[in-house]
Amino acid sequence: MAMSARKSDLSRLHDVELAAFAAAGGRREFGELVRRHSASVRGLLRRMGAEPALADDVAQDAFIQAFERCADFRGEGAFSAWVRRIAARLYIKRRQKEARWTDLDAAGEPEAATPDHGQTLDLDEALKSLNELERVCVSLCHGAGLTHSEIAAALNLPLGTVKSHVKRGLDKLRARLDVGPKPQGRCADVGS
Amino acid sequence: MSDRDAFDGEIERLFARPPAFGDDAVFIERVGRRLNRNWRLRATVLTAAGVVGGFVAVREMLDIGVGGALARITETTVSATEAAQSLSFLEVLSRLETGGLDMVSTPAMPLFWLVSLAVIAAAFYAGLRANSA
Repeated sequence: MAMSARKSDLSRLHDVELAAFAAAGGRREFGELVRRHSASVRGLLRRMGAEPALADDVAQDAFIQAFERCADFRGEGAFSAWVRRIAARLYIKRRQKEARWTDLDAAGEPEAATPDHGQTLDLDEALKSLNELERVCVSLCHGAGLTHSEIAAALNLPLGTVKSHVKRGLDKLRARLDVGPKPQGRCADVGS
Repeated sequence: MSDRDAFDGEIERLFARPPAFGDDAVFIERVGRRLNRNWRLRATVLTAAGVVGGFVAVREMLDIGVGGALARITETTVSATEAAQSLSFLEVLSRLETGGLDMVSTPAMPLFWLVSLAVIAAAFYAGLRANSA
């Protein structure tokens, strides 16, 4: 494999190939990965409840960390999912420095606009009706692909608490989004 | 497909669809700038470490009188070459085995430092290449 891809070739390369170049120090190739997946990472962080400036700051850190750890990416899952997990964990660490999640749990329910019957909100609007922990748990589960156990470990919360936050969050989302019947956790751990 | 799976699938589909950002180009440029800055910093640190290591190695060599040691090595090599010229190949080999030629008493430390210097120079060169990449 050549040491770096030509600029015109970059858009044709698969994420795994770009990541291999990046692991060898290819900054241009990594730039292409950033171009492809920045919206996905920034979007997840905002859906987790991060303010735009903080979300962008954490997203930048996540990409820098991903570049340094690119050799660890084996292409077993999607590159965007891998970076989203890095970003989600960085955001959790950042938030944990500021406040404990258990304290946030007592913050109460946010006030969100109630849609008229049959009106469909988009996900970003619907997420505003969740409290912070529900929002984080649902986003980690369905946006970053973490299992309930991984979320519990990352947030330092009991597994049962995480499961109930995910369930309550999904219930609220279902009601807001008007997309079908009562949900159950999809990212439940095997055997749990 | 159950209703539960249908809802989970819908939620995951919604999460997989990223929102549109008007400032994507700015974000990408900032990440690129940070990558380049980190890269330059790393190359500079490596280069500086190579230079400092080289200076330390040179100073150590001077402290242990490498000049004299080099002269001894040269002298030994010249005498060995002269001796070898007057002997057949088999005689040279037999003398080497018996230590007849004075090639094994070369001082070890100067050689060690010479090799170290070469390694440091190679690292320095690699650092320069990385910096210019």
